Amino acid sequence: MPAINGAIYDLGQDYLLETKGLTIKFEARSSTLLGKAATFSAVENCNFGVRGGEVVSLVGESGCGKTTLGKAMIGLIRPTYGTVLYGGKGIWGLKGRDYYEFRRNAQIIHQDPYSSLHPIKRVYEIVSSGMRYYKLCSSEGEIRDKVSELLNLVGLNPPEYFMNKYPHQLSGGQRQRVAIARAISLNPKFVVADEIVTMIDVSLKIGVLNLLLDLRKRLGSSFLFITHDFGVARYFAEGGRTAVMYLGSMAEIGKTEELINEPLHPYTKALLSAVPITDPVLAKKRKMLELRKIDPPNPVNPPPGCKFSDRCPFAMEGKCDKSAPELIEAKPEHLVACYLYAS
Amino acid sequence: MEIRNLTKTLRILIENRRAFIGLLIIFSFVFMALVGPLLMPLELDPRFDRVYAPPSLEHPLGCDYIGLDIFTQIVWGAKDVLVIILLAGSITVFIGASVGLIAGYFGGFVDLLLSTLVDIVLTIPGLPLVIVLAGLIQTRDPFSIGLILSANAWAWLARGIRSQVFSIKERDFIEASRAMGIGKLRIVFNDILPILMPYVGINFLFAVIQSLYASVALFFIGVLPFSTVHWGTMLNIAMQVSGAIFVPYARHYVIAPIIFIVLLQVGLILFSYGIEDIFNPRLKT
Amino acid sequence: MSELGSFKNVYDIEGLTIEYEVGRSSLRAVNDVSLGIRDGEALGIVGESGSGKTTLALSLLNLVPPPGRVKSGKVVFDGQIDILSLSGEELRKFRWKQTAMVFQGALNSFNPVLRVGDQILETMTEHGLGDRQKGMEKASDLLRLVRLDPERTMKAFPHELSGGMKQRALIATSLLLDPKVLILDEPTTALDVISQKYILNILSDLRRKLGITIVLLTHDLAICTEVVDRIAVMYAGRMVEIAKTQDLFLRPKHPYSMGLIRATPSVFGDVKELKPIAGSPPDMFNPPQGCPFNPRCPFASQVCTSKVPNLEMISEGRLVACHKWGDI
Repeated sequence: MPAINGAIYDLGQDYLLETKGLTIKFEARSSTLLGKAATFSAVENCNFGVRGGEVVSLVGESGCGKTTLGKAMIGLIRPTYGTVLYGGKGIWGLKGRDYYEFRRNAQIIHQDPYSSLHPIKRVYEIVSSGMRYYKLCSSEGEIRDKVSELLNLVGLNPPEYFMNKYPHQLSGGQRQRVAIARAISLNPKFVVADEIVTMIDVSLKIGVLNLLLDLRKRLGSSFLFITHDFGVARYFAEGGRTAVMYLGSMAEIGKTEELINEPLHPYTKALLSAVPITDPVLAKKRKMLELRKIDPPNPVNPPPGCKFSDRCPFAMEGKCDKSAPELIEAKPEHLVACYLYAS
Repeated sequence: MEIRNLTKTLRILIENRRAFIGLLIIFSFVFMALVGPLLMPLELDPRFDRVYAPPSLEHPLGCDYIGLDIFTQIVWGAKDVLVIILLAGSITVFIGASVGLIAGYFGGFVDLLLSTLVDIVLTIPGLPLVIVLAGLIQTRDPFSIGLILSANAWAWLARGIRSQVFSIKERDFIEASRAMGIGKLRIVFNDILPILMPYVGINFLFAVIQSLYASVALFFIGVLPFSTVHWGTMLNIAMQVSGAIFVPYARHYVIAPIIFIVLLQVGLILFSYGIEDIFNPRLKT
Repeated sequence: MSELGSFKNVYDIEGLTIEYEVGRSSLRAVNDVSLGIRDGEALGIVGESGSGKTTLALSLLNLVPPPGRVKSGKVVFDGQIDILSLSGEELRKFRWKQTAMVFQGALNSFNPVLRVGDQILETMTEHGLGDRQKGMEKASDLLRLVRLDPERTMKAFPHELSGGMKQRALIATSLLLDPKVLILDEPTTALDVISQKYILNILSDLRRKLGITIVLLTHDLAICTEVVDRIAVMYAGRMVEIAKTQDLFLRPKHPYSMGLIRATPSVFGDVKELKPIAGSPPDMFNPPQGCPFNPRCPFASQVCTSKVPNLEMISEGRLVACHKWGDI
């Protein structure tokens, strides 16, 4: 499916980090030895942005491209088409001081606490590596103080105890806190949190989320919170925005509470009707939005036009299967990519 | 913190019995090489009354074809043997690891260039290459000999390291370093190399073991000039110059250097079992 | 203490204790658990990592792997068969014919170079379902029951199917020998929300149409609002609360159950009420004295740190293991 040229929606507003027409294609190898390599678009023509100090949750099923989008926004993956702008400047053209300024301000916290920390370095080294590289401190003692402070902030007390530990001596939740400490060690303006509570026990999830929210208040950083769990997305971005992705395309973006209470895109509606809730009475009353097909299409072979058209109960023949809809502002500050709302 | 590390390392080694025995053997050789010459002066004047004297209390390994004590020669030769093989091992590992790391992490054109070089070196058969080089560059400098011995070996290590770097560089903690903007070279030597240390360590030992054979071979076939009491030289003299192998009662002259070569090899191989343990952080805690 | 009930129990678990021996220490994965599983019900067993639910489920098939050993207790099927004493041929006849299990992460157990149909055939042959024709017909019926197209699915290679499709195919396969009980260990953890909902609906369907008993193991309390009638909550190897779904959510009696409900973020309900559970999961090699939840429990008192509470029936169909349930 060719990328849409020309009509790139201008999100206006002052964005800290912004993507315009972002498309990222990967080669998908067939599992059999002689399979031909096909390309698929992990991210297709995405216009998206995050403002300074904002929290945005990015929701979607696994394989929808949300992680790819997040990583592309902080320059870890190169776009095939389109641009990523930091403070209005394309990140792949940055040089020298500008480049380092961007690098310091765009950080990531990974999903898997068991692989996101260097296996044979101590917590002290892991957390201080950024500070060392940028020579932010003038002495070892200063580094030590800063690391103590960071470990304190993320709730790893006493810091002296945790500093000397190796990752394998810590629990998943503790490792995740170390990863958070590392991410904020350079005081970044923008942090991508990629499914960071997915691999953590239920009883501890809220604790980690609260930590992140608290850090956000202290540092004023923006957070892009990537998750497949709508409940967690809502908790984190309450008061912020939520974006929903499907098969590489942005389906809907809006203020979190509004998006959840009045979803516009049929996919969002389906998701919200399928998400398990902790109220058994309400759960029995709810009806799931029946889709025309239970299973998602093969990402290498999406349907023509709107990617959701083969499953969407509201699909309009001749329209939805012809070309992909653009993101339009259906309500103030509420964007949706769906022909149902095109005037 | 560093001294604590050392004692922990020693304790790990002690627990692995094979490695510990290996280490003891190696230390004995090192001791022999360093202290031996101070205790046993090297005679150079032939003593024809002691030609091929059998092992006795005074001469534990007997005497050679011109009546000189074999054991003294072994002791004096130890240092040359050890220095050459340690140098060869170090050079092999240094070149091999650097090439492998850089080719693996930088990828693209750099990788293409280095890999082609590696492939070319690999197509040339090892021992013949070493022999030819040794024959051409007649040298007595242990460093140069070490270089010659590593001519082919570094390429195997480079290959192995490169493929391991391919998989390591995809791991999340490397991505986190990249996100911080940490430079490529720093990531390679600061983040990736430490993980490969067990692999490098084992390969270092194997390179040492291999160069022991190769260096003995070089001296034995006489390609390298001998002015030392290298054990390979002793074998050369024993087999070819003095014909001791044809003289039944002179067999101890041939066997002695062989025993010590084998013994050193055994020590090195046993020690190699402990290398993985030393670098495993889980055992340090 | 055995569960009393006027229903027929398809499984009776009494005082079951299972330990894993690791080196010189041992870990009590299941600690004095008693539970009755009623014929035809859908039971959810909820617990986080280390709760012991998987080990408990494996014992229902006598599948606890070494170094795990049953230290005490009984598992009785249909009031007659002592599962833990079965072995060899009898055990083979029991497994998959009376009780079947879909394991955690079974999605990855497909052989990538064989077509799905061939793998189903393999399973059938292994379990002695002789007639190939009849077997394939049955497999097709079951695939249709789980809302898969039999032709397409059988011809496909595993990588051509989505996670949800593979899981449903596995469920269909496990029903080939008409088991009475189907155990599923975290069947929807790796799946997207929509596939998850469909699978839960399908499980309800299967229950209605085939009359099987379903045992669903999960760490996600929220999915128990869907297909499950009763919920058994486990913590650190012990059974801490058993109640009907509605009762558990509306009026939890054990502090852990209450904590779990409050710690699960949801798309509905007041966000402000969410709270994490203090502390961290127990060290199973060195569990706390007395009630294992006491270090994290906001209601804990002296007795909780010394005496292990027993699972007691506090009203019809409700059991709690807590000294303080009355205060909650």
